[in-house]
Amino acid sequence: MLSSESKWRKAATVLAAGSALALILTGCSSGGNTGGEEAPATEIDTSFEYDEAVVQEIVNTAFGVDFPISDLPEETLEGFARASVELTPEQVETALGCWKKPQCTIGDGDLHVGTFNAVDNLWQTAAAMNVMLQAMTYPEVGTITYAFVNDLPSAQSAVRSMVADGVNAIVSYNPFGSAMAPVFQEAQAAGTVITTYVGETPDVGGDVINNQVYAEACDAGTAMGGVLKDDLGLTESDEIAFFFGTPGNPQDTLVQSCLEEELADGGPSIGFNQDTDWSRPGVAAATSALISSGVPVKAILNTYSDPMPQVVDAYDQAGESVPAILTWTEMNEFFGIWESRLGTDQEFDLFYTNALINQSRLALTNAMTILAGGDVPERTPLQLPVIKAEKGVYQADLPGDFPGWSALIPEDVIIGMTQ
Amino acid sequence: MSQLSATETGRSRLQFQWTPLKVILAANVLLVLFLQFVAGQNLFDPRTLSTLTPLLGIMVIIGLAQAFVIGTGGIDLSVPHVVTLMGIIMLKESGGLDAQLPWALLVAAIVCIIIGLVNGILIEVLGFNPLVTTLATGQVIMGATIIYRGASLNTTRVPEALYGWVRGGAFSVSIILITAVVLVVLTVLFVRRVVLGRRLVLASASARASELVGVSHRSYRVSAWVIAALIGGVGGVLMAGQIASPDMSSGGPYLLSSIVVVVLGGAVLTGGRVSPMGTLLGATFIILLDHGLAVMGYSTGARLLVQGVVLALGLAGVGLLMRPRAAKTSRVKPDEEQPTTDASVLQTT
Repeated sequence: MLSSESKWRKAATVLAAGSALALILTGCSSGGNTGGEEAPATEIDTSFEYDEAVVQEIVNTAFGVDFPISDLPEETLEGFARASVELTPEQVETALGCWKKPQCTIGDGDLHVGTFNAVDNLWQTAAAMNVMLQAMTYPEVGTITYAFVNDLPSAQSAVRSMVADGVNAIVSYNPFGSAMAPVFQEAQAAGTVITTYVGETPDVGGDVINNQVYAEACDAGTAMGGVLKDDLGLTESDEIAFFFGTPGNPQDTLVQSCLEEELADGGPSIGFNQDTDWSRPGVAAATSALISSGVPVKAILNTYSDPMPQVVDAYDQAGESVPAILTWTEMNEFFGIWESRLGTDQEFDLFYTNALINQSRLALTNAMTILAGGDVPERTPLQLPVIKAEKGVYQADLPGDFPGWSALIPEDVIIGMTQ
Repeated sequence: MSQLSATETGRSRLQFQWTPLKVILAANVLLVLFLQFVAGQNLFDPRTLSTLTPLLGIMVIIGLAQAFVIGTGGIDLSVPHVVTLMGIIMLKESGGLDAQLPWALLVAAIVCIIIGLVNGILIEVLGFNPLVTTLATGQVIMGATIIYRGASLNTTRVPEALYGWVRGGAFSVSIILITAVVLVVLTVLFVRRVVLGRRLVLASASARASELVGVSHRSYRVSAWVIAALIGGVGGVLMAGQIASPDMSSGGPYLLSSIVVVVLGGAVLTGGRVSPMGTLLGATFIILLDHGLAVMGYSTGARLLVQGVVLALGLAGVGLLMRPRAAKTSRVKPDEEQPTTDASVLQTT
């Protein structure tokens, strides 16, 4: 015969087990869609009339150079066209009010878009703003959810939360690569469309990420090699330095390998290579090592301009001339440093690319097209033209980390963001 | 009472003993000789000194901050977040203006004192585990920094006065390293010559011993945490000046390395006396080693591997050096009369 205490304990155990089972079953069937079923197409009006001349102007701004729209993937045209839509003052106020809020209502529609961010700098948060601004061109979108994530587990948790909350699309920069594959697949199984921008997640297909918008890294590496040979006139007897971002990151690995291929034909050699984590202390340490090594590099290459002022600083401290710099993205403070040296014996050649942030608009539009049942390829690679810096590139009235007009963020919004 | 013979006393005075400080000094000398003459790197080239000494100076200062904590038997995992927060404070509170720099420095100091007090009270008064507590406070500091920084900063450059000052120096040696050395010397004087400092060391090294001699160990141990936070704050401010546009990645490199340099300097992680000079030499070793490997073209992975091996060897070395000394204090010669008071027990290390 069981004692009363044992009976209660047994009953509590059965109750707890039953509750857990019920929760598991509820979780498996939540989200409005059963796993494995393809969600029905959502009613979205993706017809968008645009003037090609206007789109051409937007594209030129986005790339920083004259770039014929005929060279663009077809699915990007609507994305760029919608970037030309002028927002009402109310919409600007809403965008600034909603920016970086965990959840916000941006319209009257039923659709819910989610985005997450792993780095809290203006470049990344401006990309998130772009997602919101592009979403505002769709009356069907009503809610935006934003999550700041520290690391992989919190990113995975954020995606799961968004899916549980019923988001229809998640549009984000994915710094965690294929480690996000399981959670993206779960999201897709629940009917959520996943699109990413900037940086390809290699080795994953459309079953993980519906569409990836990214700069074609190999082309960019080749283009940088062309600049070294043709614009700077460097030859086999010259050496350059390549500053990697995070150790072993696939983007830089691809950039460097295509760069080396291009340079093999009469170009300079990579005489110094160092990881920097794309961080300022990392670049400072790498430049210190470069200077100490005595390798007479004629150019320093890397794929993120934010920490590059440290290169100039280190060379100034060492009392040496700054070599030419080829970098990706735009950084107002760096442009200011470069422009202040024009016409002096401290000037140096600077080449850069567009900010890449505009890709978040394209990723949002691709997500909406997929939701509407349209056909969008798994990958949308974009070229990354290299731009020679010219006087006027520095915006003195804007903050140092202003990411550039190629970000396609309207002026009134960017001013509001930086105040 | 029998006494050691005059010959034996003289012999023991002349006998060379390896101490952790001597080991790290020798290691530094060997490393410099290796890099200079075998690897062919000219460490004393003005170009190298001018770019390397700022990095070394910041490492020394942050290592010194960690040393105060390790002396209590704790570890401070919030150090990198304090460094990052200092950078953001320098930007936000100064607005990039020289006139606002004193205010920014005052805010930074107050914030450091608060962080030190919180850590100290949680750990020394409430008895929480230092590793877990500082992990938590580190997260709190990071979150607070993100909120405090806001969506974007209108000012992205520290005041020119700070920027210009950290670029000063003498004979290509950065003012940051000079400041670090001055801090180390002041710390040595404080812990050896000032009563408060000696009590701080006593309370940090042994709460029980300080209780027995009537020194309130809790307040001194909490003070150690506050001093550590303040010194870490100095490192963060100088780092902000060095970088000129500090961002959220400023403190990243200093989590593991700040512990490594203290251990290399001869500290035991369970607490005890910590040598500020040893910490300086530990920082020098680790920075020179990392720099030397980077110049030779080794990847980050290889350099981290070496840093890990060096830490393990350092821990093992400190442990081995401490063991013979402990054994000697209890050794008794069988053919001599047992002394009433064993002089070797009273020997201080």
